[in-house]
Amino acid sequence: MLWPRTYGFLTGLHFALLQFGYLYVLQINITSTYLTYGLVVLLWMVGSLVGLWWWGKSRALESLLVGLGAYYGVGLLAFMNPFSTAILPLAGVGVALSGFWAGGFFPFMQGSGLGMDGVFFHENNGFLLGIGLCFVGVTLIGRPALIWFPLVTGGGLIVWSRIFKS
Amino acid sequence: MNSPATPAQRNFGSDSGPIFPWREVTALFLVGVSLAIAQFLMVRDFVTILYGEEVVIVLVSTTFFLGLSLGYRWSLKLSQRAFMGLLGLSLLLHLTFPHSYRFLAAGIARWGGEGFAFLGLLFVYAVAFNATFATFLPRAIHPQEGQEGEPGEGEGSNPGGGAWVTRRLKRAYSAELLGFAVGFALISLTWNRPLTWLLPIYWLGLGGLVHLVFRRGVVTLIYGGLALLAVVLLPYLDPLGSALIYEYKHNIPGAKVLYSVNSPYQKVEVVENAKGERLLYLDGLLNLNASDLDDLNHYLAVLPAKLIQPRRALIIGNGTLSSAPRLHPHTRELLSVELDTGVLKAGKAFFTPPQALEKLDHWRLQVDDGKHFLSQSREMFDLIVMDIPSPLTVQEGVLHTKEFYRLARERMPMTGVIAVQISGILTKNDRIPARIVAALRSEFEEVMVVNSKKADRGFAYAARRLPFTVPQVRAGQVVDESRLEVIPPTEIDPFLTEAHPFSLDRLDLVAVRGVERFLGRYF
Repeated sequence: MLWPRTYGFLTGLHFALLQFGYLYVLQINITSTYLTYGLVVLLWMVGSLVGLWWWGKSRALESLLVGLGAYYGVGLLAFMNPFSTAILPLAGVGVALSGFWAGGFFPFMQGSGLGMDGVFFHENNGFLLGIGLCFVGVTLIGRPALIWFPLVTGGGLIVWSRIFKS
Repeated sequence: MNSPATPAQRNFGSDSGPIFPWREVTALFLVGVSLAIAQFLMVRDFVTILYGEEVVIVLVSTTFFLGLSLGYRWSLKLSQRAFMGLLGLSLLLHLTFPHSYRFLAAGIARWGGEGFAFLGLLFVYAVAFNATFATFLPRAIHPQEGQEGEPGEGEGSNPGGGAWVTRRLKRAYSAELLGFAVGFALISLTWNRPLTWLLPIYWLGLGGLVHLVFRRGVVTLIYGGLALLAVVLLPYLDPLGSALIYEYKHNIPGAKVLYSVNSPYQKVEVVENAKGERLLYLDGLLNLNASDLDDLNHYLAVLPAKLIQPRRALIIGNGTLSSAPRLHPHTRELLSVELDTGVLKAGKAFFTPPQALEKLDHWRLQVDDGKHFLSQSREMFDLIVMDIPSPLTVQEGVLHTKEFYRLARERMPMTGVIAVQISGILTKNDRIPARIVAALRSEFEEVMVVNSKKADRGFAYAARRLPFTVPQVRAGQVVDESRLEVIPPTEIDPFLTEAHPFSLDRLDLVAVRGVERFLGRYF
């Protein structure tokens, strides 16, 4: 893989934007109760565990697409059914689907030449930036940030996956 | 090193390759548990120490992620000996949790320390706590010389190779993730309880880690003794450390912390000052002072209720429940909706005696998010009282947006009134009071504002058609108010020429005010 550090960093950034994006989308459109926070954190971890074990190296593109699709699906569902807690189980499935790549990414990066310490390091740095960026985006831009930010990072990673597939 | 496979090893898979030592699996599981608890408690504590605007929450959270990054970076650069030494020091530091950094923060404040000193303290603890835990995972995946499971020790055909590393990664990361989930669950089980519930569990987990990593009975014994001492001292040191923070950092001489819990949403603390006044702090930010409560409740709830005599009234927020007994005589049905059970507990214990609430025959309480409640309710309310904190976090900001006020409007009749405290005096600018009033004005035809010097803030009353007049409001001012400024609906708009209404797409002041307050406080 070319530029694995940048790829790892961008992936971490994408994960933060997705995870915090879910949190903001659900808290703003459905409910701010702790249930929402717990749902996002725990089902993201469930998705990561499943992704870690079952999604192999060749599934990077599909995983990214599924994760993005789930995010926008949940966003659309929340927008169309404002404040309906009935959609939370479906939202949970969406969060888990997006979390798949958060698990699959690490085995995928094995052999990238970075070493797992480097992969965790760069991914975590991206995540760190994503926390701040998501907050700035939500406060300064609002909902467009929740729509566009993950699309930009996810799209970038998809293009990257296609271009540098070898 | 090569021992027969234990059940734990077998459960982790029996594919060819070196067996992942059960000690490492358990250690990583405990690391996950500890990481979840330590990160949660320390983020809450440091947010409280630095005061909890969302900007501070983001700063503290990212600093702790920075601690993780440094741990990952150093993980494979440390020799086994250095790793063990640093781990030992770090675990000893964990036993001073949370007193040491509270004492240090109080000391910095006492001796006039600058913002950089507080940031330095945050950084040091983020590294000392999180970086240590972060070193485990990469070291488990790539065992170092002298470490159990290092390449060549196992049974695999290609130790150190790609498939070998991947297998170790999957098992190690899974163990840590599962531990994190358990830690998260433990935190959730101890909501609204003092730290004396969670910390002993945390230290017990660390004891397991000590035993698994050092594998010396004497080390475990020493750690156990120190941990026992920490548990015994916890009920004394926990309130003492918090009290010192309030005494020196918040400048409350003789502060006593009467109540301190982590609710699902924030750190809730009740502090008593030397005069015996009780103060409610949420994430370190003063939410209310019991002695100011009368004026706040008067203008926000009692005055509009007296003027309207609502058949049905709704209070959103007001976790102390102090408005309920005062509003009750003026309504036929009264409903309080509050999200945070931690604040409700504090309210019942220290601000509104349960006996006062028991007498309220047509009052009920619902635990829910205000906007979710309004969207789901089919009831109409003649008066909605918004007793919520200033918009310094996104979630608080959302309750001041025009979208929220639109929701409220749908649950109000033509002359229904929403009363909002506007977090300051309304002046012609683009600051929070003007923003809130602009948001109200964008959804309601009539908005009246009273600026009270006595209550040290303004209050807005909004309706499609306000059912009271300026003289009526003025006549209802508190007795010792020198001169109440009342801005009638016809004169509101000139105050709002520079103000952008708060909306879901424009919560910029949450960030801007947060930064301004943070910089003003520390730099």
